[in-house]
Amino acid sequence: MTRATSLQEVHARIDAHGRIVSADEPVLRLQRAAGGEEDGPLLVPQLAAISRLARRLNLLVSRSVVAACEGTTISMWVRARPDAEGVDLLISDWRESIVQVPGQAGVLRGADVASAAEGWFWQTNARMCFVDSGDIQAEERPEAGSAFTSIFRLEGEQGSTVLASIAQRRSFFDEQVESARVEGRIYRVSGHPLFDGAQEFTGYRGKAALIEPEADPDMRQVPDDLAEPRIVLPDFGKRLDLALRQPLGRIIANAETISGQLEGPLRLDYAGYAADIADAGRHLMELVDDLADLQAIDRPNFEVAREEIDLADIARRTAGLLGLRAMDRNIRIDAPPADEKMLATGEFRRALQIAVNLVGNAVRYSPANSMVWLRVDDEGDMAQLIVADQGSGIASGDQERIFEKFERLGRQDSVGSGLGLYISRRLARAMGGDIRLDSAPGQGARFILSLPKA
Amino acid sequence: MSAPTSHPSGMSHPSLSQPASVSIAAPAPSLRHQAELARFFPGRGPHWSDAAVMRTRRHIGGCISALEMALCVGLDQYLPEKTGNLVSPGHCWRMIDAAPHLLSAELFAHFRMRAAFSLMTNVAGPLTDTGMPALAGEEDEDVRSAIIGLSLAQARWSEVGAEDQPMRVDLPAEHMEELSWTVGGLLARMLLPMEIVPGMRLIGAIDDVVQQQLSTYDEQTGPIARASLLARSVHAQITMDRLEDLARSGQFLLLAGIIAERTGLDTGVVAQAVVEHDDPAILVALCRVAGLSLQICGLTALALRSVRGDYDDGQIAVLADRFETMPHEEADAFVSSLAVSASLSSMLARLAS
Repeated sequence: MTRATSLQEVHARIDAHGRIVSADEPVLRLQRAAGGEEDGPLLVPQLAAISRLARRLNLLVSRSVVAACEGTTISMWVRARPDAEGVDLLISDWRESIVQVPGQAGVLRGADVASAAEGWFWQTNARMCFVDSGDIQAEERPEAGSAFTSIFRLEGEQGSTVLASIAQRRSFFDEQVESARVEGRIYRVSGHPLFDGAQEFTGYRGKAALIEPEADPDMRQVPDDLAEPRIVLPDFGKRLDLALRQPLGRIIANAETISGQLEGPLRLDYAGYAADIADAGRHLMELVDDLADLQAIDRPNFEVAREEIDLADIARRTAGLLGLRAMDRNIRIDAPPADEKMLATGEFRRALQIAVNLVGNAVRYSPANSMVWLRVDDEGDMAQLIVADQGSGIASGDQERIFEKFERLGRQDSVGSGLGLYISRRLARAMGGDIRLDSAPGQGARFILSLPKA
Repeated sequence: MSAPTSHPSGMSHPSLSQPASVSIAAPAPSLRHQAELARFFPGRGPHWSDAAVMRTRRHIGGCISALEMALCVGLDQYLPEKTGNLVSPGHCWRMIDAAPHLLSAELFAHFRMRAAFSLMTNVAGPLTDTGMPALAGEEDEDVRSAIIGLSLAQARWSEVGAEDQPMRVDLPAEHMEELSWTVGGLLARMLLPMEIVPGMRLIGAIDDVVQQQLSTYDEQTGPIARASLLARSVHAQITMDRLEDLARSGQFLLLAGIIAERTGLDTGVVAQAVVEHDDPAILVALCRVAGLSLQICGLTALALRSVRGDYDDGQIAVLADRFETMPHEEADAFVSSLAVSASLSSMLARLAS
């Protein structure tokens, strides 16, 4: 995901000793991220190198430069002009890309699963020190920089599962851990490991909740006469999700390795079987994802973030994400032009999830060689993202039914769980908006996502 | 090294007053030996076509002559004796022709690369006045002017003429610096023995003229920088159809820029690798990592036939197979190897040879 910033030109002046004389904020941000001071030696390696080169050659140097900063990759065009006292850096075409690796959506979604648990958010860095404790009560808030173990006792039997999971960089869910601060206090903790674009471990993100002994059914003593296995449904759902996700991930990865013949040549029919297994695995994984979402949004206290988002930007990103899938069937996705904006209030990731669902459906059910249009508009206080296709359309009697759980309008194919539109509408409504449908048989469908204007 | 000699100005300059023909008229025996060995035992690596050799000589000679002319004009403004008039056109090129080892390996490789890209562009047909048919419908004004700029810059690379007919010196900054000082040195070497101007005055004037020349130089006017800039503008939105149109119309430098954008490499590094790399599979790896199609890879390989004799039908068939079978990890490793800094690569190559 790349976005060109509104920055026209950024300037910096470097003296003959490589120290910053003056610099615009974007350069200073890179300098701070590199551990440098605003008036100290220029420590952004790529800019320092081009500056030195210009000084050494005593020549104007113009180069494309890529730098990394706080989870983004910044590509820029730099002109370094040397003179007797130093170098002037003139930077243009500043483009920031979010570092994203294949499967990162799944990682984020996994983190959401961990976050679907009760309690307050926490996040650590790679050294397992808290960096963000979120919106929690003052008495429980870990100080930024304090160690994970200053809040949660990981020694002993209760903490060993969490400790082992952290050591292996694996998720843990609803594990009971003693408080390191208050004797006898027990927390229920969930966490998910985070990795950056280079697959380097960057920390954990999760939730923790204090267990009230008298209120927690799991803490009750089970009478001997009721000792047979008992399923507590909410926990079962969460654990089922985690129990399925990891083995499914392995199945998909191994099947892809076999079908891609990465370990050596294979008979084509066997490779085809492996590809079928990978497809089926991915379908099951989507179902698990949908169930996890369903579980999260059906909670009475489900909330979404309120931030300013650009529906046109979301439409363009969605077109980029699904462009390849659409091309397989020669379907063209027509996104809003790069300079169009439609600001709304909602949670970026959830709005993107809705858009991907709507456009994914459009691509899935449109005929080959057709078009899918993404447009933005506004109506009163609401901003709208419209997804229109040239599919077979939906009869008026079915138009509300398709937003119901597991509703597939009689389709028997193995694609889709019948949960996507239900989840999307719930998410839209949680953000103060809605999704409505405008369609007729034979005339395609127009799904309209509306969110409050920013 | 020759002993220091006395100069009429009273100052001593090591070897500067030696006649040019004495020390550099004949190539160093080891160089000739190496050249002949390479000719008779080509082994693995690029087998340069006659066209590539001729076009490379044209580019080197043209750039040297253009610099020579510019420095002579500058000298005439500095020195009332009008010493620049005494230099016969093409003199520096003839000196380099007699002693090519005066050019560094990196500069020579750069000239091979730009000559190769100019040949590859010609193979696909001459440039039209709209520049690039694949981008003809582009409406963005900046992109349109970038297209025209790149087309014109590439057209300069394809100018035919005698080897020493001046051509625009649009080199990257490092190479511009080297070539300017080389030509400045050759001029000094020629003019000093004439003793028209006291030695240090002449040297000082040449120094000033070269500095002046460099101070106004802007590498952004060259095709490589222009290809990088244009690629930055179009690479995110451009469709595979248009990329294939670019390959069909011979716009390989822009494709190199797009590969560079998508792989995080420098355009010059990508271009150099496509033309120079010993293992043709680098082309497959670059196309795969940059998300380009087999068709683009094949068209590039076909265009490379005009430059490298080792890109025969068999080799291209092998490359097509590699495109289908090369694991992602191998392609990534190939491309990552290009990101190693030039100095370290150069040292590793020297240690390996």
